[in-house]
Formats: sequence, C-alpha cells, structure tokens
Amino acid sequence: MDLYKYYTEFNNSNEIFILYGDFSDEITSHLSDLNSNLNADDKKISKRLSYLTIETFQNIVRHGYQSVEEKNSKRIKKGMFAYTKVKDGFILGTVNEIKSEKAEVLKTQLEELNQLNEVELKEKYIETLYREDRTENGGAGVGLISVLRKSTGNISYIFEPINDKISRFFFQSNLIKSTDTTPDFLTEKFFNLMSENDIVLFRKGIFNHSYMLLITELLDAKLNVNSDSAYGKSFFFIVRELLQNIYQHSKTNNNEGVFLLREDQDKLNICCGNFIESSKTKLISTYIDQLNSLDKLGLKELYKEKLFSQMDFENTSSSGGIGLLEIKKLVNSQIYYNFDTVSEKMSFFSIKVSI
Amino acid sequence: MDALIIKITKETPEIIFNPKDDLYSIKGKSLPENAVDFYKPIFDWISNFSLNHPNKNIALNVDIDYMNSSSIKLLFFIFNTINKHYQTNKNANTCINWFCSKDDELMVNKGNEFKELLDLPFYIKFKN
Repeated sequence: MDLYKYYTEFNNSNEIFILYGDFSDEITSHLSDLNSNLNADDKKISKRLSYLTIETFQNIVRHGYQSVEEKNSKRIKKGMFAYTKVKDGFILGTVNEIKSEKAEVLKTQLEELNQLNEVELKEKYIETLYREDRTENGGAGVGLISVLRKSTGNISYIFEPINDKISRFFFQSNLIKSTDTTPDFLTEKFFNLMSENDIVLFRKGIFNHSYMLLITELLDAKLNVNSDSAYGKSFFFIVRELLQNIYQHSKTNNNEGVFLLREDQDKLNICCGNFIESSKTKLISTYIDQLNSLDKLGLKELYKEKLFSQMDFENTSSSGGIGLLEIKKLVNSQIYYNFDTVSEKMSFFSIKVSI
Repeated sequence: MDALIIKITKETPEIIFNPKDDLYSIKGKSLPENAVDFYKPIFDWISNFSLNHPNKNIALNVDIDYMNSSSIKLLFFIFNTINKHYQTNKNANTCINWFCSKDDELMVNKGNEFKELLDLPFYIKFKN
C-alpha cells in the first residue's frame, strides 16, 4: 500500500480527485455534486469550476473515441477526469482517446485558440455559434472555446499516438488567481498514476459525511456493480465504513485523508488512509491482528462480546466501534494495514480491504 | 405517554412509536452522521415506556434497507431494551418483526444474528 507516498507525492495539491476508466453521461451530475462540496472561497470561481467540470467531462463522453462494438449500446468512453486544488486555484484535466485524423484538426484548433485574447475569443465564440458546419457530435468547437474563455491563461495539451488510428489526448485547463506562473502539467502525472496502478478512483483531501454519500452515489453510477446484489451491498457497506473512518478518526484539523479504489483481477481493493496519534498505533494493530486471526465462530463470539459489553451511550463513540469487525465478517480475506511515521506524535494509518 | 414520531430522511429511518395505536415501527435507511444523536432519544423513549408500562405489549416492526455499523450497535441497544421488557413479564405479544427481502442476504443474515443474540420472540418476515 502506498497511500502515504501518494499523499506526499502531490504535496502542492491540497485536494485531488481523479476518476479513470469507462465513462458515461450518467456520471456528469454526480461529478458536479462532488465539486460543489469543495470549498471554493470565491463564488465566481466556484461557478466557473462547476461549469468547467461538466464541460470538460462531457468532452470525454461526447468526443472520445468509441469502438465499433460499443456504438450500438450506451455511449461509453475510456478516459480520465481530474480536478485538483492548488495554492492559487484549481486545475482540471481530462484524458481521452480520439481518432488520429481528428487529433490533427484539434491540434490546429487549439494552437489557434491559445493565441487569441479575451476579446478575440468572444468574437470567435459568437462566430462559431452561428456557423452551419457543425461536427457530427454537434459541438462545433463551441464547448472548447467556452472552456478557454472560462479558464485563466492558455490550455495545455499533449497528443500521444497509441497506434496509427488512435491517439491519446491530454487536456488541462486552469483556474488560477495569479497569471504569473504556469501550473505544472499534472494531467499526465495523474494519468500515469491511475493507468499504471489500475486505480479507478483516487481522492486526497477533506472527507466528511456529505462527501462520503456523494462518493458512493458516484461509484454506484460508474461501476459495473449491482448495488442491490449481495456483493454490491457488501462492497458499498465497506466503502462507507472505511470512508467514515477517515473523517471520524482523522487527527488533522480538516479530516484529511486518502481514498483509493483499485481493480485487481476479479477483485476491488478499497484503500483508505488518515493521520492518527502515534500512541494509538499499537491498539489498532493489536485489534486488526486479532480480527485477522479469528475464524467465523471466533468473530461471532467477539461480535457478541462487543455488542453486550458497551451498552453505554455516554461512552459510545459516534462510530460505534464495530465497523472493522462488521467488515471482517463480510470478507474472506485479511485486512491489510500499515503505519507510516510522520512525526514523533503523528502517524499515517493505511488500510486495505479486498472484495 | 406521548407518541414518538420522526419523519424519514435520506439518511435516517421513519420512527413511529405510538402506544395509543399499538404501533411501533422503524423503517427506511440508517446512515446518520451521528448515530448517538439520532438514536438516543428513541432509546430514552422506549426505556421510559418500559419502566412506566411494564405490562404493555411492544411488537416492534423493523424494515431497514441499509444500516451503517454505528446504527447496528445503537439499534441493538433498543432491541435489548425490548428484550428486557419481554423478560420482565414474558408478555406473549412483545416481539420484534424483522422485515427484509428474501434476496437481501446481508439483511437476512443481520436478522438472524440479532435473533441469536436476543432472548425474545424475533420473527424474520420476507417482503417478497
């Protein structure tokens, strides 16, 4: 588990959200809801961020390359969507596959648009809006121009050939207060993180109850998991419990943590990490080791003992204290955990459950 | 004793504890941010009712689609209070009816777990 490594790797980003894999239109509203949960201090920035989230995400679904087999079913495109909060603002990045012939046209268009100032962009927008030669996807370039108008500075992009027919298109738009510095091209770094590690969802930042609910709704829309099946119910129970652990036990002011969902052959790995007091590491490791050592009967006995022995509202923590035990009862595998020393008093606790 | 009625929300179940109509029900989803804040008033109500009306029936209907671990624990506190109420007078109509879908393995198993832990009539009733 490298959760702490991921946390520190993107030190300049306070909040990161990355989604990777197959996308459909259904996810759009969930992404927008997640975004509005972010604290953009400035209302104007907040509105622009919301607009850019929807527009850049829909670019993947509308314009991404679609193989012949998928054409007759629901529109599903492969790609990546990311947003991150940096010191001076936000960065949004997308990656999707496109036909190489289309890449050439798009490259020319972007080069041209990046040269235009605010007034020229507005004129271009109006001109494109009234143009009759709309593309087969109906966008006509208006979406792209809108994204540029709402962003600060130029759009950054890379085209990477995959084979002679398809290219990979990396696109990054920035919402930064200061125009003196050009932000790093984080989109490519994020893509490498997700694709090389089969990560479906990555989140670094603040966690709270609302966010937990939104994440699970998003996963319900994105994943091919039937939330009404026995597997689905178990999966979502574990996701909720582990997310709750972050904001209920995190020892930083902002309930900071990391959440990661990874595909591993026929399993899903659910990983969470948060800061804890170093004095608590022994207690936690003893408890998880105990859970891992027990068989079904042993878990049953421990469950009974915990339910009956702690019948005290005054001393009951809001988390209940049986979350990990409930998770262990659901899975037939070990609960993996790790502590990274942050300081004398603080450690980073990572946990992984496979289902 | 006045009825306790709490409206259903996206995260918390509907609560109807109405002695006048002999209706006791917990229905919906249970994933409150703070389970203690939500369930303590309900626990207090049922404790007071049991104390003041030891001979009254309490047939509690429970129909929960989903519950987080903190809800599980606090619901158990409530069930155990009804368990103790049953032990006091062994009234044949005090019981817990656990409603769930036959296909909902998680809720069927949870019902069976509670049934094993408690010592009062506990009936698992399938909705379909």
